[in-house]
Amino acid sequence: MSDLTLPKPSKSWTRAARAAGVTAGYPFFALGCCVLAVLLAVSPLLVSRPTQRRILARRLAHHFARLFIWVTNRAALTDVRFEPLPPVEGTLLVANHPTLMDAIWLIARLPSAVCVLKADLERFRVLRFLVNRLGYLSNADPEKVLASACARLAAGETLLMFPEGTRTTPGAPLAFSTGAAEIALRSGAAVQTLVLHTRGTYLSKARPWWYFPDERIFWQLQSGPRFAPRTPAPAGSLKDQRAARRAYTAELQRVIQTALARAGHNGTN
Amino acid sequence: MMTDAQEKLKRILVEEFEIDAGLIRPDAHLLDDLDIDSIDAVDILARLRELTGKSLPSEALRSVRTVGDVIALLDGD
Repeated sequence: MSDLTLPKPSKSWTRAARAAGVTAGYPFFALGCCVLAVLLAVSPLLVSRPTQRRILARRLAHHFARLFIWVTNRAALTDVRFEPLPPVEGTLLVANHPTLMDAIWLIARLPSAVCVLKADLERFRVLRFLVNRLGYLSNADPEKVLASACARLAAGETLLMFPEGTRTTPGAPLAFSTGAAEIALRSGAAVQTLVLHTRGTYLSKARPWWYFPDERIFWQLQSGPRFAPRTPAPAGSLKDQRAARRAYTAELQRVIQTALARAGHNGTN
Repeated sequence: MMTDAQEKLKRILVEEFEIDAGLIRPDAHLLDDLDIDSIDAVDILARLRELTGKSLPSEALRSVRTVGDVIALLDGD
């Protein structure tokens, strides 16, 4: 596909500067994660109540994400932007997943969101520790994640999910799995869609993570349509429940796909 | 010869998920051949617990890919 061929290099000096910036960016990020992990490791000494500790953990992660964006935006490596969002407390947030950094960048705007992350990430020990301390959920066990996600929403927390389950394949249409819709139906939570716009394919599945961008990495959060709580299909009829969650999934996928197509930033240009 | 549990699994797939009985073979892949995704599998597991009285652990779903895997799960418990 033509859009996946490597772009022509820009002026060599900007390219070199960018390469240096990106090279510095990853260790900076890794170091940040480790500092965060250390802070969270000692937090039980300072804060005794687990719920308070979790709030503190999320606040620290939120500020770290903001600092990270501030630095990379200032260094002209990234152009991360946030459009205004309606109040999202207590909703299920459903987003597309174009880049490696989506969760981190979203935390910078959504301090209290509980992320539902893919189980693969638990391979990384520091990350596993952070996920645990932040009170995030892993999708390793679908039955358990459904139950805990609903419990979190019932307790008034805000949940963030990427129904694609992995990053979008650039150029391909979105392919949502049904978990998010099922959680929305079971919990009776409202759904706020989030549309993540990108240009180019840096940090996407189509590139190795270490590939140097030729231009500033553009990423923008836009709020998409909101869905009021829905009545689930009657319990007992697996067929109806399945039809309901598939229809809801298709609807969520369609509104996000439409918003991406309208902006023309669907990661393919 | 089908065991009682296998019979129940087949009935759930045919009656509740409207899957053609001919497609339900041990080597049938749940997602690719039968369009059963992970959330459908959670529902099937819950239904199997109700019908068989077995305490099928949810972690077992992680390694389930085919109809044969579900049968092994039912027979193994």
